[in-house]
Amino acid sequence: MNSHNLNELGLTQMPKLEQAMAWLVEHGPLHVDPDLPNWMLKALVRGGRIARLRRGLYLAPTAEGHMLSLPAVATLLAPKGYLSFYGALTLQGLTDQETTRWAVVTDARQGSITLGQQRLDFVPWPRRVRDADVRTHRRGDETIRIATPAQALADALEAPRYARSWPELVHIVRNGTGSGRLSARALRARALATASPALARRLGFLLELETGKVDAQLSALAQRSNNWTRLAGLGEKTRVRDSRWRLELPRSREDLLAAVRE
Amino acid sequence: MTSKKKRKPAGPTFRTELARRAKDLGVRDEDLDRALIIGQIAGLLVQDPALKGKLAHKGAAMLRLVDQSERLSRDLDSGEIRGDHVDGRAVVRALSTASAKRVVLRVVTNRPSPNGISFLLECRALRGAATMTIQLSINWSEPFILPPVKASYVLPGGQPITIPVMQAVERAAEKVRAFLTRGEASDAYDLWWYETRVLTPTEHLKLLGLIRRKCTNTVVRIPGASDLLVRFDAMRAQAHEEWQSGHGLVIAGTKPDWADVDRALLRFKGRTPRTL
Repeated sequence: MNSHNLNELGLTQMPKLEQAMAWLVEHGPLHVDPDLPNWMLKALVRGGRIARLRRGLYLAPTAEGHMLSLPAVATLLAPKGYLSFYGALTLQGLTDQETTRWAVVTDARQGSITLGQQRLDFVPWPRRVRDADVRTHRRGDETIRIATPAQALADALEAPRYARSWPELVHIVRNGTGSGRLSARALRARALATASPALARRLGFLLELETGKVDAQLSALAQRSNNWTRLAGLGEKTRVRDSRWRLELPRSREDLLAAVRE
Repeated sequence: MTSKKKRKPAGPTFRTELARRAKDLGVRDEDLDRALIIGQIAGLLVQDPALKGKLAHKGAAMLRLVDQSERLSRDLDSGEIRGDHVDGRAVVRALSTASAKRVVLRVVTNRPSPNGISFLLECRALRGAATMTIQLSINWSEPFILPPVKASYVLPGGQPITIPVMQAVERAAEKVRAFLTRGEASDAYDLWWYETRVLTPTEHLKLLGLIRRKCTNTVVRIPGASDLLVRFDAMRAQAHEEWQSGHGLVIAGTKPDWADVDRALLRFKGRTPRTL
């Protein structure tokens, strides 16, 4: 009986798959265009033993049998980048909600990756990568480069399509200031250093909702230009205009505050 | 030449068993961990002499633990049964006992509000990774309408636990009020779960009165309360937008079709009064 017949009977397929799996684990966990036949990769993905993150990119378990989470994968794919926005805030326990959308600030463009219901976007923002306030977070066998809470919140306010909702951000500020992990002073300093009227408007409004006080410096920066800032991504339609902060809001102040979780 | 001694594979430990059990159940080990921790905290709180008989649990955690919902959240909501003030120090004390310290590493008290108090609990992750933060909220804005019931569930570790829980029909009425207030996709999912998996026909009949009573609470004010049915439709549209965006809804199972969820929402709308 020659080897061709053995293959037809399926007798050589299983050992080959096991060999391939052992190789993937040993050289993993990430593989870009692995030098393996397509049928092997497809069989392993279908069997749930490895994951296909995007075209040509595969994730194998570690030697201990753990699959890395998407934020940890992102740190391997973009070592200079960092996890930020709403995902970073949830990961650091500033809200009781979960997320399936993660976003990483990077210095170069990359395609998004998905793992089950979870999705991770790479946001090219080279200027921000250089001066961001980042720390390394270790959990188990994972290492994640992650923005500090103040940095993640400032990023989310500058690019609100990666935030979940406005009431949720108020909830995060409430939790963060209550537990001492966020401070209004640090947030204000970050906004003033960025000198962005859009950031000053969103942050000033957020702090006013939470504390009831208007920050004079943020207000001055917010009034520096005559245009209006939309809370794009935090509610698509504009229903109310807030002239103090020159903001176009998706809902009234009263409505936003009522929707904040206790 | 040095001989390398071959290491024996390590035997099963609590952590490896937890990972194995999560794999058997088809959930992430982090989710199993969280269910274990929330279940233990719920039990610890009602065992404390100062809180025993005063607190009962509600919210998404109970929907998951008691009613097997597939939505994941990291909070534990509790209420004072008679609507009396709860001393935050009693909660801190209940979570600082020797047995509590196996689970809770640190309790951070948030600013109390007139209607409740919340805590951030830094918990020991049983799977051995970094700590896990869980939010505990205790609310006393209103007394319970129906007497709480005892609910039992088995912790994933195997030990049974019995805790006082707000009745499912009252929790559903509170969920309708939350939906009218904030209109999130997660609220829509919970209402769909109550409608299709939890509530009995007798409980459905009780809902109309309960929703009215919950909505007339003066502490939790619903914007646009002059016409609750118009408000309900606005919140349906908002929840639909969020549902499509994919933000904010994390479930362990398959995401239901919006058409099914919307059908359930319309049934709840049918039990909501137009005016109060």
